[in-house]
Amino acid sequence: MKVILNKKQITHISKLIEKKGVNYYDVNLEMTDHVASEVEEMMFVDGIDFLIALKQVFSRYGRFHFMKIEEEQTKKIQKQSLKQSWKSFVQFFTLPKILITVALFIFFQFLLENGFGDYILYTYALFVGITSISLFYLKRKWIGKENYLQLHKFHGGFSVLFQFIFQGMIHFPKADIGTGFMFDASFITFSFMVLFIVIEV
Amino acid sequence: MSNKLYKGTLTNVVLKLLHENGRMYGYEITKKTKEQTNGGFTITEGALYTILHKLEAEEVLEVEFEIVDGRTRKYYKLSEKGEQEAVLKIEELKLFIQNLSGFLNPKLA
Repeated sequence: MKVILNKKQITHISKLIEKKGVNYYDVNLEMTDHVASEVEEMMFVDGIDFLIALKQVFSRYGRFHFMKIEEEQTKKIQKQSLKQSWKSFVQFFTLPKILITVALFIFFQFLLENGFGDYILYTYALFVGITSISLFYLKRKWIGKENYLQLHKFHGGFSVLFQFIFQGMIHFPKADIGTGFMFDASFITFSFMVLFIVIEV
Repeated sequence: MSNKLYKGTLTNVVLKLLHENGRMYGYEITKKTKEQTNGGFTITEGALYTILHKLEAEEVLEVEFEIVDGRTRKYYKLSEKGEQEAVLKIEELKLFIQNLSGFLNPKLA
């Protein structure tokens, strides 16, 4: 009868692989399944115990086996991430988005020049904050557990966005001094550009 | 046999197996390769997963996750683009072996 490893044994394999330097969740899942399949077959064919079979499998792999797979995965993710970021950046340059950005810039500059600086600070922080959080939860639902690269990129985008909120809080009180107007209006507009790029609208 | 001879054909072997068997997982590929060549051709895990992940990034392969025997299993299958590439690569491989055979046995060619 076919040997099937129990949950405890699978967790043991997964932790061992993690100790060998495999930190990517999807690679760990794949390696765990590979090792488990091999161990199960050895236990069935050779009639040996779980721990002996596991030891034999790991000794065959050698010291740098998992590190090589991990390195290749890092290279793949970096390449894909760069490709995706460039694609998202290029997608921004469409006429409607550019027009909205220019309109936002003029709008914010007008508000700041007319003494609404402090007033729009909280509205701005609230808007970006609520939009970011709701999109974060919604998109996590859409993406699904398996697509970790997308999720990783999304996290990256949002950390930039949250930086903008905090930076905004620091810069806004200076909104009423001379050249600060221009800087802050560009700054708010740019944060919306980042939002567009992150959510890829 | 020299590993260098195998290296260049590994991608073609993976594509051929997926073309014939539909979707497969990593361990299944290593096992099938060993079986079909009576142990003469062994793919190391390091080389196999490097190729699989590279082909996945190039969108030649599509992946599916499924819970099997209480653990998550990652299945690979050829994408539409991959199917076309597999047919081409298999033809290339056949032609290469034919030419090589002709070169090694001039009388038979």
